[in-house]
Amino acid sequence: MTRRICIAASAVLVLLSALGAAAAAAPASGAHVADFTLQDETGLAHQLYALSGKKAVVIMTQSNGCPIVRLAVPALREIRDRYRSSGVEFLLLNPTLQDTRDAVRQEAAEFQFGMSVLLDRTQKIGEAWGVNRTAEVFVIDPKSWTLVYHGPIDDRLNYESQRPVQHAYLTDALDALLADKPVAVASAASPGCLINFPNRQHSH
Amino acid sequence: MSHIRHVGLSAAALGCFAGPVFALNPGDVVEDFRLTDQSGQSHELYYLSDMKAVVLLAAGNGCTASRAASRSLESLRARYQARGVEFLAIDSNLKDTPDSIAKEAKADGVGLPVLTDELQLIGESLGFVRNGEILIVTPQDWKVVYRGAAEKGAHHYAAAALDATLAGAPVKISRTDGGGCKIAMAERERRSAHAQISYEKTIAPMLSAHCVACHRQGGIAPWQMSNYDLVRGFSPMIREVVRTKRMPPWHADPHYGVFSNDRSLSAEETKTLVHWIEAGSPRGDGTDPLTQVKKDWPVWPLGTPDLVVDLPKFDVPATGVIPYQMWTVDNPLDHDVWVRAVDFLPGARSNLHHIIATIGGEMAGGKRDTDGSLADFVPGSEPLQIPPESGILLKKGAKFGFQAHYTVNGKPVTDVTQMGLYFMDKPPQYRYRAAIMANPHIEIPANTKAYTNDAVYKFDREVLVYSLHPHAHFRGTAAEFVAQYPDGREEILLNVPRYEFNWQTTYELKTPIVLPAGTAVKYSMTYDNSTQNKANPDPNRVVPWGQQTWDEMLFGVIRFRYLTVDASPARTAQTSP
Repeated sequence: MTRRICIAASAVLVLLSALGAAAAAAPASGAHVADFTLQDETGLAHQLYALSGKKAVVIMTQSNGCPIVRLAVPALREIRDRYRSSGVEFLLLNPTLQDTRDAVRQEAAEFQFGMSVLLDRTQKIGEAWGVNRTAEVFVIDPKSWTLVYHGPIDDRLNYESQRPVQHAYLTDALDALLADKPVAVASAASPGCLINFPNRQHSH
Repeated sequence: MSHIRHVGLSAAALGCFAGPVFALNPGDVVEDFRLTDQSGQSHELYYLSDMKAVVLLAAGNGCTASRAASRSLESLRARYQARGVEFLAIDSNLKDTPDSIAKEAKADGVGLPVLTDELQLIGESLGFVRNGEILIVTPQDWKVVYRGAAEKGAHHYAAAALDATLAGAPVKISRTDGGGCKIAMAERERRSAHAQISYEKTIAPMLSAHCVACHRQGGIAPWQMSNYDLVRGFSPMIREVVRTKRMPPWHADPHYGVFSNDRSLSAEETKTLVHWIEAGSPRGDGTDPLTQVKKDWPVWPLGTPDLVVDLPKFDVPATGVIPYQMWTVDNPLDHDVWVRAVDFLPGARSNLHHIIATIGGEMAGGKRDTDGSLADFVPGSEPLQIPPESGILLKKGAKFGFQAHYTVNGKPVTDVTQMGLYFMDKPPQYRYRAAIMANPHIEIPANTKAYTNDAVYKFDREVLVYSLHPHAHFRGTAAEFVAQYPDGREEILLNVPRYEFNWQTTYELKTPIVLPAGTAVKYSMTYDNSTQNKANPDPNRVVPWGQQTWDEMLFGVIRFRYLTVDASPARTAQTSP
């Protein structure tokens, strides 16, 4: 079904412009998240649906050398320390073509990630999830395997600047999910490094 | 991986495409860009995220359809601007200059900002074909909701689209024929040729020449351009930072002044790089020159300094905003010397963002001897080499003053930076001087997007000006130095349409300019104390003068010498705001 809609959309776009392509659509809140298994930077395999006993799964996109990721990781680590005992799992996802396992392991050690980095070297997950940039956070509800929040951790970071947090999107979403309440802000604009998905338009 | 049957989010089925867009239709996303208008002001599309709608017009001089559309937008602007709609024209005609655009806009009574798209990169990506066509974009998702004519006969397409958008309703007629005058865009016809741009012969050498000094092992840049794979991986990001003028970090308006330390890519280079990326960053044949970039950068490019001064040790935290560090360091020399060159050796190159060094730390009445400017360090800068026959006097017992700005990069580090000084064999004919232009009476109103103030410095003798340096903090957003000559003429010496606090650049004139006695230089700074300024720590605060970054400064420096030989002791150069 998914495949057929993509082909239909591609036909329309090709019709409208020979070279044209739209930016990846942001995944909508409530979207179903399919299972996957990926290896992390140490070679350990992680299956998403194996986390079915968790209250929430938080996955943040990462690429080596992106300043916004490096500045976001300490904040994510702090949030993990606060929410881990409530049954929230935190992972990073590297959907880039350029970052090798060794390079990611080095980056994780240098910047003390303290969280596993899932390597999506084929970019299948990044493409399917509509990932556009690094430092995008996906909050998944394992009860239904649906997406409940997609956006930045908060509104602190921007390109070459940061300011005090006004909206703590991620922790607000986690608090709501843990209290069985609807997430008030399900998405927000997310600054980060654009990730190259060279095959996105040919992958369907 | 083969056992995984479904990896996707079902909603992602609606967006199967990524990459640059060359024909934007209703529903497509408009990517960010930054361009300068006919009056030298900078505009970034995504800065307008607090608007309800943005109307973009493809405009060109001497085009009847464009003039008619401008007039239509002008009347729409009167009705809709107060309701949160912004209007921008974009001129992608190669023959049109900011001056000729300003002239025609004035003649037509059009007050709309007209952005000059001299590289045509933005016009190409907006799919502009004919001038007179408009695009209406909604900032909540940056999608096009209308494309076509502003109006036609009794059909007020733009007004109808804006009314619908403001009411939260879908736009009924979202596509009409824009008509108008065809824009000559040679590169648009050459898209297939862009795939032939050579990575080996063109792109990699360009990156080596302009970027690798920082984007290297041990450089300040966060990632290294050390091979093709990394460049390709960052390609969409490179394109974005070039389109939004974040990189290369050079912020002067190219229409005024020529500067020897210009870090920008040329117009041709910029177009080639962006077109190569839009062609998919093809690797092509040949070697990868970036893997052969030199690994050993000289510690002191000018040779061993005559004096090395250690700056205090500083522990940089992993993240957060760090106040400026202000240090005073003793000069160990027991005799006076003349300085001909100054260089800095950062301890933690990836964290040191700037240093402003002065001599004469003797504080008189709370004021530093302002003629004691020494040198600045910014990432990627060359050592200061003072022009021949000029020098800076370093007196025995004088103290060095340093203002150091560190940036965080996600891990804690310790920095010890060194300053290297190079001395002259004998006293120079001229003193290398600094005119300080400051206005400590600024009071920037809260929640204000543009507040401008200035300081004026009058030269009472004929001078030769070498460089200009604007300085402000998080809220500084645009700067300008204008010479007001004794005969009444005015000349823009430097326009910085997008002042960027992170890059404390000294703009060094390629050819020093003579200012006659009696010339006044007006230095103005514009501040953005609104929430749209993403670096603003508190838009609700009325901001006064202060040395720290949460306060503001209106502070500029002109480096010069007198035209006639004068070796008398420097006077303290002060300005009356």
